[in-house]
Amino acid sequence: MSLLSLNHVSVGYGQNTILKDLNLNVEKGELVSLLGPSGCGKTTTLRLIAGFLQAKTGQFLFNNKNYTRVPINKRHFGFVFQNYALFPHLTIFDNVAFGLRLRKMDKKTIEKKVRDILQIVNLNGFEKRFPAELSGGQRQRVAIARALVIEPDLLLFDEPLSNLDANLRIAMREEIRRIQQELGITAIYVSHDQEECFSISDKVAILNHGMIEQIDQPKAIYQYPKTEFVAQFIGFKNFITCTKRDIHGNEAVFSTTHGKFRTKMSPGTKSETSLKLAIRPEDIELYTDIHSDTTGENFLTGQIQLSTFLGKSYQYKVLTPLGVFHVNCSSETQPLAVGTTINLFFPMDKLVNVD
Amino acid sequence: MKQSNPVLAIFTILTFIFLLGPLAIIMVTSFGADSYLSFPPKSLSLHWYQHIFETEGFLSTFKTSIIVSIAGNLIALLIGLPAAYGLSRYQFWGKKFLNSFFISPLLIPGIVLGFALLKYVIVNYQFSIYTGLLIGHSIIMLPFIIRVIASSLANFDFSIEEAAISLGASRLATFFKIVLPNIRSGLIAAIVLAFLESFNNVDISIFMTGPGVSTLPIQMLQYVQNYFDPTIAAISVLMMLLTAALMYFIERLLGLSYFTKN
Ligand SMILES: Nc1ncnc2c1ncn2[C@@H]1O[C@H](COP(=O)(O)OP(=O)(O)OP(=O)(O)O)[C@@H](O)[C@H]1O
Ligand SMILES: [Mg+2]
Repeated sequence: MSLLSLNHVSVGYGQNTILKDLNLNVEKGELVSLLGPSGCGKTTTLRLIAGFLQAKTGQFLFNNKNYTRVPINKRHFGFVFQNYALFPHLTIFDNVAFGLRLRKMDKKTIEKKVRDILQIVNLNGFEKRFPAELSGGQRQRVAIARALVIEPDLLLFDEPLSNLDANLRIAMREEIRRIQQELGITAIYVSHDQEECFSISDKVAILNHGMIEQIDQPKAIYQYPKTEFVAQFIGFKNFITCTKRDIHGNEAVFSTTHGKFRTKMSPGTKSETSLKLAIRPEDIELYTDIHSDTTGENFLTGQIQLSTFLGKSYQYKVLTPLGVFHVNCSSETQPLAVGTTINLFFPMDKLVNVD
Repeated sequence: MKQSNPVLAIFTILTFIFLLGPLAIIMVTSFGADSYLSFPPKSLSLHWYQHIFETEGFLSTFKTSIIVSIAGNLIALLIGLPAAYGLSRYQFWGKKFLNSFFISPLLIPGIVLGFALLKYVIVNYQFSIYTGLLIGHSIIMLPFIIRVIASSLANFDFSIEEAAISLGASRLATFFKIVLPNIRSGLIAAIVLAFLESFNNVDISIFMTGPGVSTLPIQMLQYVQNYFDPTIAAISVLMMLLTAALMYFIERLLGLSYFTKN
């Protein structure tokens, strides 16, 4: 049994259903992140788990107990808010001690626990300050310490780093990961920053319109997106619509109106009706010299329509009989002129079959 | 630095004269020795201040005014604080109506409200004069309490309360430990504004007072109908001092943060 499972949960505001049929399992000690475009229901999912929202239908199991109707303050979960939500009238010490005092611990224990946790988030010496006297990154660490100190059964993060600058964001996400692993805490982390989610999570769940499209280890999602939406979301810009699929062992050949494409079968074979292939702009190879063998499988001829400088690479928009493709090429080579006829090669281990 | 504008300076000075001039005149006349109001007074004395305490009615009505203002304030707070919280934190059917309902005593002329209250509530249910006064004053204080507290609540981020609840606090504990300390300045401002509104009120009190029970403003009104000596000016000065003392006390307590920050 998973530590946390959401089974067929739906949530809505008034008539609006936001989460339709949500299923999510989280194992003990895992950090699972929820990733998706704005408005897809990430915060809603997190608030449902925290207890701020009630499920219309479905069930929320935690530790084999039915938590669907357990009130927020009885759940013993920590919540880290996007805007930190520190208590402005209390010192850092009192902010962190708030949850402990509610649990009627004696003074000595509270003092020790607060000092220990402030040590972990590198904030010792700040006990007497007020939240207004801290920087954004320090406030965020207080918020994390305040949620951690009650030793929650589950820690929930709602875009905790979105108010920080880029460098601090990277430092803080490493910090969060370190603390989470050090204390063996189970956590759910919401963000719309892909890199952030991929770098700190054991598993990433991609949400779209209130449904989880795919949940898997970061690398698996990165390599083998299951659906067109997931592929698009994580940087696959090119799609090929095929007419037929033939499987030969662990390879598949897809037919199109303009040539055949051979791929490796991805783990979890798609149904026969999945006739879409996806590939990233940086994975397509580009050839200017047209050999005889460049007319076979996985090749496509096209014309450069537009060239954009992206810094470390050029991106070409190439018009082919199968539509427009975006191709990235190292910016160290001479850029190709608009109108040049070129050949595109799609390496078979980079082409992914998606739904 | 901006250049000072002479025209603006003149207007500012004129405004101050317009606002503070009458107060200065009252202050000066209150020290006059004549038995009628004159400005400037021919000779000075503290006689009329002494006269306040010798005249029957002023001290007792002052006491009534204070009691009614404080007790009414408590009642208005008891109703207004939860109402302000509900109105600012929850969405519910009829919220707009309730909002207007609680503000309506500000919009209806006091005379109308006082008369209606007397005719349809006080007389109907045979409330005592004291009870009637208390009801009337609680009603006129309510909009101040609700408005000022609701605006403080609007500035207080709801997620801070959610944070407290997620840490294990009940809703009630959250209200007392987190919400109240953070709206303290608004709360005190609401209490003071409501107190002053009640303490100076004439139009409601005039319907609610009766034989034996009166408030200070009503007593003053009756006095000036019969006498034209500087006693009233002397009382006015004392009331100004009371208000100033109240303000000073609040300033010391809050550093006037409510009035300057918000
Ligand atoms: N209080 C509310 N009342 C009505 N609709 C709401 C409310 N809160 C959110 N919604 C709607 O629910 C949907 C999901 O919102 P949610 O806040 O979960 O999105 P999100 O994935 O967290 O987005 P973001 O990345 O922008 O924070 C949105 O379409 C939003 O408009
Ligand atoms: Mg959100």
